[in-house]
Amino acid sequence: MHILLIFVYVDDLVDGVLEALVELEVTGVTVVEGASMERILADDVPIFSGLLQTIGGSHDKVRLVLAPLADRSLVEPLFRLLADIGADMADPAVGRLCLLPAEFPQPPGN
Amino acid sequence: MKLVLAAALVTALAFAGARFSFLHLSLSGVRGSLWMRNILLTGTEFVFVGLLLGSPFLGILDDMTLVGLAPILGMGLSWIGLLFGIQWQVHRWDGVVRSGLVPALVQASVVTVIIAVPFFFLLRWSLDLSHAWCLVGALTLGAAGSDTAQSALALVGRSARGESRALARLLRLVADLDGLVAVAVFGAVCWLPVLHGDTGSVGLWAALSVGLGVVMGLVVVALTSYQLAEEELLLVLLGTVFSGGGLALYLSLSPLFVNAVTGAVVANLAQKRVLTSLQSLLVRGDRSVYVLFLILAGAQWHPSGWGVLSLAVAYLILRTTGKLAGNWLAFRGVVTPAVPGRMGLGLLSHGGLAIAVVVNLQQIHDGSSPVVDAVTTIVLVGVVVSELFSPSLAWRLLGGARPSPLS
Repeated sequence: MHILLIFVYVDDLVDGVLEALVELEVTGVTVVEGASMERILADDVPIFSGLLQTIGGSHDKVRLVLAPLADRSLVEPLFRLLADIGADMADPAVGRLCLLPAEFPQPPGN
Repeated sequence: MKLVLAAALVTALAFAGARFSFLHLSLSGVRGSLWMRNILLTGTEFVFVGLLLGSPFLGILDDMTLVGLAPILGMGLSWIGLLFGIQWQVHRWDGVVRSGLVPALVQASVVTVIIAVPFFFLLRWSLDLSHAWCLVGALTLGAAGSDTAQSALALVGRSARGESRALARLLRLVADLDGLVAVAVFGAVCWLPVLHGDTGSVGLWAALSVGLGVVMGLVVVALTSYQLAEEELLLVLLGTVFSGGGLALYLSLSPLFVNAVTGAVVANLAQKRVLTSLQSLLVRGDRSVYVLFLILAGAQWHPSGWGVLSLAVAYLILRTTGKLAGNWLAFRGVVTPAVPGRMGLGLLSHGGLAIAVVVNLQQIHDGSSPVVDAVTTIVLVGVVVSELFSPSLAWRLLGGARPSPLS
């Protein structure tokens, strides 16, 4: 069992990434929104755009897609599908893909 | 040739400044008062860079060169106006923002009145101007003084802990919203016939301002109803900024106001996808445009004699009084430990739209006229002095919280 982490830095590609996972029949996917550390520490000082921050304007967001992956061999077709939609995971400005080995312990007696 | 070199130098300084300013430096090794140990770089330092490059000193940005750079300033004003307006997505506001709108506008309006009324007489007495020009100067100062700069509060607010976080959020909300008074009042100043060679009427210029903004907004909404790539969207954005701002300046109107109207129309009518992309593009230029303004405003600054400097002292006193009185009046129904009566002390940070208003006045009227010279000196001195003291006052209001080394 693995946990697939996909960091998507281009807002327009999120739907495509999720569609690729659906096509590979990956279920139980969670998408988390965040911002980069540099942006929070340095860039997050508004001059004229404070209201946009207050009402939660969505710019320069990072989306983290978390997916449990039972079959490691799905990674290769996933790369192909992502390449088809222009999500080049080798380009750090577009996104990153990371696979972590994971254990899902069951309660005793199951 | 000099113009090209000056444009390149100013652009390089603006980009570098946007990257290395707007920081809080915690200098723990420096002994002394709070403002010396905790230096906030809020961009104000670039006023002095501009002053150094201007006619009185190095002469790189002399008066002729500054005239040549006018289109860049016009574009900057339009950019800021559009960015300001595009944030007013009224349908996305939650209860907190809605409840903060009226108090924020009330306090800013009180500041405008408290500054503008005495300055109408002070300008007449000290500069011997006509009634019409005194009105232009006084209302411009009122508009500039009403705004609260957002950057220093954002930096100071990070250090707030515990209960003072709520107050820090309230201060930031007021600072986010009160710019509307500055943009609207200065927009209205540009409707005065005296700025149009005594032709037309206030109603005519008001209708032209609002109409131009609405039409430009509808054009953007129509153009972006097609599926556009980011580069095409940037083209639409630049086209809007140049044509809206250019037309406004040609008609001696305020590009700030006209483009704010355009932005508000786009914010409430454009598709969400387009809006997000436009906001993202505009926000990226936010700090560079501001640093550019600070440099060029500093370069156009001809520090006047003691008479105008004493007017700057009066401006600072009136602005502080206005902020205290305005906030007391606006929040008098909700004064609790979380909203102290002296909340106005947390809103003395000055800059941002005040600088934009000054630059706008320099653009639509002869930059060397007595009223423009006086307004520039008064506001720039006000901004520099306020930025020296307002962060420490805001810190004290927030319970004396000291920023952590990372904040």
